[in-house]
Amino acid sequence: MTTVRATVRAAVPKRRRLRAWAAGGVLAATVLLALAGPALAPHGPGEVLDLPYGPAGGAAPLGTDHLGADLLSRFLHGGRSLVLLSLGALGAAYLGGAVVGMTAALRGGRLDAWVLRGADVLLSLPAFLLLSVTVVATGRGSLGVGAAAAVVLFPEIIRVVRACTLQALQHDYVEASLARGERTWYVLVREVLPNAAPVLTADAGVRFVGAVFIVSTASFLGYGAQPPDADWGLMILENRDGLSLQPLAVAVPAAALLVLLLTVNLLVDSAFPGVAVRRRAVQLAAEPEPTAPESGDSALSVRELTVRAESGSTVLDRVDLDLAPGRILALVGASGSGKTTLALAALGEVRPGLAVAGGTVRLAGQSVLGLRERALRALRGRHAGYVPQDPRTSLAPTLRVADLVGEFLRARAVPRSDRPELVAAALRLARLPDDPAFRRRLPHQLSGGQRQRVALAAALAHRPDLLVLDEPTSALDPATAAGLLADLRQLRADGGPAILLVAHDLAQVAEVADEVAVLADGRIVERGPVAEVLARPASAAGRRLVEAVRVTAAPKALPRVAEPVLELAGLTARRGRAIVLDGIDLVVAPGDCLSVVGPSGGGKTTLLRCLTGLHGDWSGELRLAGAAVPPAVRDRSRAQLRRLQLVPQDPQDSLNPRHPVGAAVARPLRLHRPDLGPADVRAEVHRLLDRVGLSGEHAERLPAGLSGGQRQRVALARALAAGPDVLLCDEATSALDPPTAATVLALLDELRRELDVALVVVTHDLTVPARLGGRIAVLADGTVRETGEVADVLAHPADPVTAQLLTAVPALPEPAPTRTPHP
Amino acid sequence: MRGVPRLVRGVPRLLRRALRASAGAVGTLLAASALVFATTALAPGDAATARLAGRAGPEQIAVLRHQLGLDDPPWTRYLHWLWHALHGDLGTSYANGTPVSQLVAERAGNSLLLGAVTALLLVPLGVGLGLWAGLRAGRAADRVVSLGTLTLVSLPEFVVGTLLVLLFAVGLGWLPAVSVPAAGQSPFTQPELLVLPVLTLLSVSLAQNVRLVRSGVIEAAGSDAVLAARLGGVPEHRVVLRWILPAAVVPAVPVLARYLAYLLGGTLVAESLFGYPGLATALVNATASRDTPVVLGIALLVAGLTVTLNLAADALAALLNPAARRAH
Repeated sequence: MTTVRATVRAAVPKRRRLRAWAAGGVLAATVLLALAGPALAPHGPGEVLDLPYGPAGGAAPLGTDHLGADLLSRFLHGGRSLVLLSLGALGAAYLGGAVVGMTAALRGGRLDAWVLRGADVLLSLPAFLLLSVTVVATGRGSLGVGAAAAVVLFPEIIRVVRACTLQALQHDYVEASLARGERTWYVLVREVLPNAAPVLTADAGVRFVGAVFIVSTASFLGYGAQPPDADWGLMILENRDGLSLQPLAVAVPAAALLVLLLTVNLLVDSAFPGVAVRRRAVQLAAEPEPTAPESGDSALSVRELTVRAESGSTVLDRVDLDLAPGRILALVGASGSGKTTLALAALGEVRPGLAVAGGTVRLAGQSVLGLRERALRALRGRHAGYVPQDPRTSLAPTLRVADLVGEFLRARAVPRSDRPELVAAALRLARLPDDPAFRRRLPHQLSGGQRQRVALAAALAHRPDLLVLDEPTSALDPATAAGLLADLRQLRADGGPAILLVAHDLAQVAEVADEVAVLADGRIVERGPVAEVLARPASAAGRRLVEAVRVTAAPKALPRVAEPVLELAGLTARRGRAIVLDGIDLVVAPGDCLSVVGPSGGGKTTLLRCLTGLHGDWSGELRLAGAAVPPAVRDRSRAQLRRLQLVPQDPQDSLNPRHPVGAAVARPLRLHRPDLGPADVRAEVHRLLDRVGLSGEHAERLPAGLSGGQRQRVALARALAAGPDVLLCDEATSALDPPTAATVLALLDELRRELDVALVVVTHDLTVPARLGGRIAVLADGTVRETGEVADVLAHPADPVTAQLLTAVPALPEPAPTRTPHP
Repeated sequence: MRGVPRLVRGVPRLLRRALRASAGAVGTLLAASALVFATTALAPGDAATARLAGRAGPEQIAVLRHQLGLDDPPWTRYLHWLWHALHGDLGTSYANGTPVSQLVAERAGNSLLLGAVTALLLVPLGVGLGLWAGLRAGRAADRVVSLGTLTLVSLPEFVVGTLLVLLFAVGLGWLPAVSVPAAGQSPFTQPELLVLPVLTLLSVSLAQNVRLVRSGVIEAAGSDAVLAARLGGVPEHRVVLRWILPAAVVPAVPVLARYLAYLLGGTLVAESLFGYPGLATALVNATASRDTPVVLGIALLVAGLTVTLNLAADALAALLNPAARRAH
């Protein structure tokens, strides 16, 4: 048995909090001293007591300055104007900068361009030029210095506030708020500001330091306070010549400046760390076992592996796992079940904050836990490869394809002259072109699928024995994902490495894996051949996963009602000069469901934004319950806005993190049903939460306290609160894991039936229309390719786009029902 | 073959963007000069009063004002200056009649020398120390560097400069306390004059750059791409060289450009602290004596430098980080 002793350092956040409190305390004391100083000073600032640069003692406890005035008194007098001027300049600049920056971000277009241009002009002039020019205009003294500091700070604050606002405006909850028809000031004050506040506070701290720099430097240069007034900067200027006689005359104001500025910087640093220091965790001080290859030739062998978090909770609990060469094992489980931790531990990696508490891991027969970093790297270089989840971040942005793959070959000491041939072979293995032009490409010149393949080629280049893939397809569109999985199958057929595949979608796993292991709460609760587990899941976790990907029965065609609630005729939308949607006609009846599907980039999201009026640049006619509605949201009446409600895409982002659930649901009630009193609103909020399967106690919670599925339910309740005729759902389930998505879809279907509300569902996932039924419209290249009843279209696709979407949907093997319902 | 049409399509777009950027830069410079002119022209008093105040009566001031052309309306004076400036003539100083270009050239050389020496130390030291600390994030070495840089960014330059003089000039007597070159000589010939001003300028800018690079390194080191490289067995020195360093340096480029502009365009504190004859002190003196042609000349030079360096930084950042190029 290997003995593993993990040393985990004490939690950092606590230390950081302590540091922030200490810095805050010293800062408060310094500012108080500066403000109250003139009242505490024993003498006036200009009162001459003694000879110049006199020693400490008697009436002058710190000695005297260049004129013979009491140093202590001048020091106490010299902080107030500095602090007040800096705060004043900062406040003025921030007030102006916030108004200008936010307006520019919100209005955009020409105003935004002019604001940026103006800020550029001010930024092109050095601070000392602005300072001296301002002082000429206002004369020497505090006023001019304060004004100059404000002018210097102003353009940078505009840019920060503008960038911050632009970022905040991208949140789904801001979109939902705008689509609801909220006024500009409401969006800024209630939705944007609370979430921009931490960033802006940190920025204001940094700018305060800048303001003190400018004001004290101006005093030092003789622009600010004029003698006999005292100022810390001025004191350093005055007493420079007596440095050798009375160093305190310079040291005391210098120290005061340092304390003031250092505490502000420390506070900003501790309270708002720019980057979290991810420590490369956990030294595993273990004696590596003798690495004689074990009997039995598994590529990976895990025994009794236990991993704990710093908090003491168990992430992996005595896990055993074996993987024979050339086999594909899928690790499935809900998020948080420990599957990624297990996959990384297979390669000897433990994420910061976690520690191995016991067990062994053997890679190609050699023990990996307890190896020193260098030996571990060498072992991995010979035997292992890894492909991360997100193609946007899986490649270094500055490495060309051939260079990237070449680095992995270099790690295995392949001579330089042999590398081009092997790079080409690796690219072919990953089904990529190996021509010189492709090999010179940078990651941004590749599609998402190509990037994952390049990562795969890099991992395969040195012919590893074990390949670990961490949800390699979850960020790809279905067609690309299907292609990648097919290639994994081919790789297996060609005698490739053993593959450990982390996945959350059982249907995809079914097509490639030999075996599947189901993880729940850090334990392997079930494992076996794929077909067996899928057909007869033995564990509760396994059953949930299987249920989630099964489409029960083809939904019946929905009853058609004569009067449509939403009619769209000839919608043509532009972005800039490009036409992104061309002549779209759609009709939805009350209680009906219309799914808009299509490949990414086909115009689905734009269509939705046209319907909500967030994208106002379109022509054509939109009628709601028979009445025409203007294109842009700001031109729509409150009654028109009420009829259409948006359910945004990302559960992380669909609710404002600062608003409790109850307040979020109550807002549309206040807007659209002003007749309700406070008690009625509360009752209605509870009723709505109840309706979406939550309870009244959720009303007090913040979104952070809810799961992804619960958040999407709240977003639904918020949309329902307005009393809409049509619900617009933007990929409302695509970010949820399959079991949760299934329950949310069931809820949508229920609401449609019971409230007679029409659904317009935008999705790239064909299982969504298969579950919801109703009608389907296939959108590609800005036009509707095909419409019809869901069952008909899925069974007999008339358009090649539809057919291609269908082939991308992985089907479960028998006995699970096939996913395309036949009539 | 596939690369060719892409290239042909790409060039005019790049050219268009370069042209648009240059036009923007020229506009910025025009606006900056107008702004500086407006504030100096509209403030009470002018060059005539500044030169003769207390020494001559109103009639003599009026005569001088007429001689200098200051009784023309401000906008004709600005257009007059602009017309000549566009033809390469920056005018003559109101204070002593020297051509502005001659005055500016001498001072600009001194500022450029001081700034260039500082920049040459700043870039490698900033990147090196930032990388070193970032790779040891959370360890003792990193904490020392972090606390040290945090202290330095909390000290205004004039405090650092004064303390350096206290230590090296007054205390140890190793270096001169003032950096005024001997008459007719360039500071080139007396390198010891540059030491304290350079150290002063380095203090804040180096600390800021180390912090920037350090946080970039920490972020890059935590990325998926680095994880994949480490799990694929790539040795750490190659991971640092090929994965982490480029990702950490790219975001620092625009900030470095701004420091460069700040350093090369004259640094008021270092110059006035050590009596070094650079652009900034010349400009401040010219502002005080209301010597508008000199003020405008220097302002134009410094603003031009800033704008050019920012453009270069944008281009360099786009070159280093092609992904950002597409985002525009």
